[in-house]
Amino acid sequence: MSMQAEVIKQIKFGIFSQDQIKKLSVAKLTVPDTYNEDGYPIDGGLLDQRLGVIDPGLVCKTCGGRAKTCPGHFGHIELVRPVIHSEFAKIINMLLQATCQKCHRILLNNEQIGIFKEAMSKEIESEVAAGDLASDKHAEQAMLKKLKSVKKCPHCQTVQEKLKFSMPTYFYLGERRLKPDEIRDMLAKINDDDLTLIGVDPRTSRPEALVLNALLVPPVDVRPSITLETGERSEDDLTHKLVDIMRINQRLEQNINAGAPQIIIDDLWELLQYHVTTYFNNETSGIPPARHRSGRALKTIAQRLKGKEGRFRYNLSGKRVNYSARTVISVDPAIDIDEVGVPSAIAEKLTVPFYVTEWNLEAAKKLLERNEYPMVLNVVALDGKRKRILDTNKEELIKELKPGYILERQLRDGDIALFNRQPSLHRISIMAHRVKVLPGKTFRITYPATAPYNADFDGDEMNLHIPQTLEAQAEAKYLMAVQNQIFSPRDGAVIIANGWDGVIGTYLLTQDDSYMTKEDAEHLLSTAGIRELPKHSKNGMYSGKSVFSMLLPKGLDFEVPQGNGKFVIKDGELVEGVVDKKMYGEGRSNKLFAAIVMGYGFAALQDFLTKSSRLSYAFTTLFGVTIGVKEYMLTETLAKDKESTLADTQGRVKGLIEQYKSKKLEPLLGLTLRQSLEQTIMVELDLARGKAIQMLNKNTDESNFAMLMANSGARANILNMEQMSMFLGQQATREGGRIKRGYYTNRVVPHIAKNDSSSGAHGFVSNGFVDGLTPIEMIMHAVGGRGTVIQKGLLTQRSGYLQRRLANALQDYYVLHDNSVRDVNNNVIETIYGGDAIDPTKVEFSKQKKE
Amino acid sequence: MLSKREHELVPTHKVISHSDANSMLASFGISVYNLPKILVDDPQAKKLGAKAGDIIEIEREDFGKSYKYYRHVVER
Repeated sequence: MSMQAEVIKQIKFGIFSQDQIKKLSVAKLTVPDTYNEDGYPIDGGLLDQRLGVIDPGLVCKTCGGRAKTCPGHFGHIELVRPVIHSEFAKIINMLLQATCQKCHRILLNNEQIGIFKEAMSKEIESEVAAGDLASDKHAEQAMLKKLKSVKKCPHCQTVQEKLKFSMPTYFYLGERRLKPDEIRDMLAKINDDDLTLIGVDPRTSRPEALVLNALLVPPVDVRPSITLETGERSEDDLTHKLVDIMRINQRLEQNINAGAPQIIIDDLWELLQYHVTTYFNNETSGIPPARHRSGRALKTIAQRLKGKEGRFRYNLSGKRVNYSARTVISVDPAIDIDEVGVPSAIAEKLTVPFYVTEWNLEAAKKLLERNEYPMVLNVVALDGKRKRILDTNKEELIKELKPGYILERQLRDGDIALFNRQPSLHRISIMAHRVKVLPGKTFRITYPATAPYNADFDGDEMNLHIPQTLEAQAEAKYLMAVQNQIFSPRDGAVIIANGWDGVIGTYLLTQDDSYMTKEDAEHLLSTAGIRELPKHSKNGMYSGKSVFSMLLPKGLDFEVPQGNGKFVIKDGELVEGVVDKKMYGEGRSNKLFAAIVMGYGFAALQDFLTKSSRLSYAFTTLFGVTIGVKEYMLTETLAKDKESTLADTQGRVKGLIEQYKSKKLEPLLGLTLRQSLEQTIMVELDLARGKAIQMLNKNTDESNFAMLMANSGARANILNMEQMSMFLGQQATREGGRIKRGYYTNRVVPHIAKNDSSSGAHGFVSNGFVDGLTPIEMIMHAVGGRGTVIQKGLLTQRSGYLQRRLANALQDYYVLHDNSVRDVNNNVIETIYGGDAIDPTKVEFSKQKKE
Repeated sequence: MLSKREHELVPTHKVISHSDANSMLASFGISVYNLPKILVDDPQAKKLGAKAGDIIEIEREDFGKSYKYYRHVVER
């Protein structure tokens, strides 16, 4: 590995002068063509062999190199008439604007020049002191603004004519059009001091170079031609464009020499300007893009660099990497949370370096001798050359093997890999897993590990990267391992935990009345990987709580309130409470995990999580959890309750409307009578849903699996159940009020009477999904649903972009050992991180410690 | 009227002495240019009569904990 010898302090861009172009050029190109009839590059043509070679076998006429060694050389085209460099037209305009049309001095008197010079030098001084080289130059901008309004040259007293600039390359002085050669002469006469004042460095960029006499032609390596299978040659877009330029250039020359009328010459001149303009940027506004014979717009210089698929974003910021793999992900409840299942086909391709030392030389030889799966694919010798192992050179390689060699062996169980899912929105979108080689073609992860990636298994693909140095492996293992990311860096909430059937199992298992036979207890515990039975049993029956306790670390003490009671673990035994999602699942309410980490470390928590999920899945399977429409059918009592609640609510709403009509309604503070009516009706309708939920709760127990799911926190909540079996209730709009518009202005659908304020007319749905909605109710539901979708879309888009900007702005800041926040230049951002130096991930730990 | 100089939400600013500034900078292991900046014409800097090059210590209070923040006074 090499160290950097010099630090780049500054980069300066300049503009090639015509002389520099000619000096740089190895060939003056004159023939507007590529190959002759024999398929051989024409001398002086666009693929002249002096510009470098790309066909294997040919030799470069400039450097003598072959396709692989010749870097390519620039040539040039001499234009018979100069043209404007369109990308600099704005700067040309600025320069013409800033200088006198006769004496070409800057349009400032000597006194003003002095003032601005001083202001600028001061600015440069303070910028250098602050180490800030790229700040806006205030004084310069102020000066340029001033220059626009000058009417008379302070030096030669010439009255300035109106200069007009029209995109992309046209300049007019009064009514007369300025030809490029005139512009060039004007620019050439601006003196160096004035240019410096305007902000152009004349040492690197003289402005007359912005009008082109000679055009630099890039080497063929930049615009390679492709030979199709048919033997037909296809040229690069840039070559096509250059051919166009040369053709027009040649025609222009012939016409001038033949003494053609001025109009014809001007037309051709303009055509030349068009071709040069589109050569630089084929998306220049104001002119039609140059097209290929097929009608496709040509991809010229600017298009190669610009935008998402341009050189910068596609090839430089977004490089492809080796030692990586990508495939579909699927779930495997049998592996550990910090493992990743890697298909054997991938494990056979990816490699990990094995650094040969004098102490592991024997092991290295043994490894190298292998010729099936965990074997060595490549050997990196001392000179850094990588050799592929073949049957023919294996013996030789084993013999020459010595310390300092690197063996690239196939991936195997236990190797460290980085696993990633896009979009990588936060740091836990990339975590380190241990490799587990498995049959099949997909990557496998456990359910709890999906949460930080926001992954599911409906076809998601993920990427795997293998760290290639010991340092990188160690860093990944200790900083990025899955079990170290269980607590959120945002608020310390648990983000990697069981859910769904993983929660419902522990919930059922740890109920007070849950008892099982010895056989069942043995089955469950052995599935979880425990080869012991709980110490206590009652008539040969084991309690669910005692079975669950087998997973808890020995000696754990933990107590938190749960519902109306308590959740108590004493000396590693669950004595009171039920393991539901609040205790054991994702979220801030899970304090159990922090307690385990505090007492026994992350490895213990990982062990608990893995074993308890296996136990939970096994118990869910044993118990049998299922769901059907019958879960949502109402009993007779409930059906009656529903009717009476609805009747009651509707009666009240009617009453309110009566009161409003007879002006007896008490207006609410700050609201009109009409608004008060709306408000009170809304409150009344919302109450109805609450009442329905209460009734549902009272009349349904956990033999109803929908209720069981909601109570354990596995999936859905009681509101979902209520909306299916009882009634949907009030549908909301984005503004928060009841639905009131739709058909003209004062009703939702024409089937409702005008000015009907009743519940049904404004989005109250009194049927549930099981009974089915009336057509009008269905429209109300659709209106509400559409609003929700729109809101969700807007919100995620907005907040996503905000979050991205914030993350990008802050990404390189870090907290130093003294708790101050620094950037890469050691600037202090905050003296104490967050004002209190608190790491949210660890807040819960310290709380658990106190107790 | 509300005053930018005296508002209760504006934390206490004060100019610190050269020796205090130096020991603070040494404790962070930085030079003055690594500090956040404050303009000389900032209401608080004006109130203190701070000159460019001075260092202002700000007594901030977040979440009930008070701590010190520093700014380097710079010309506009």
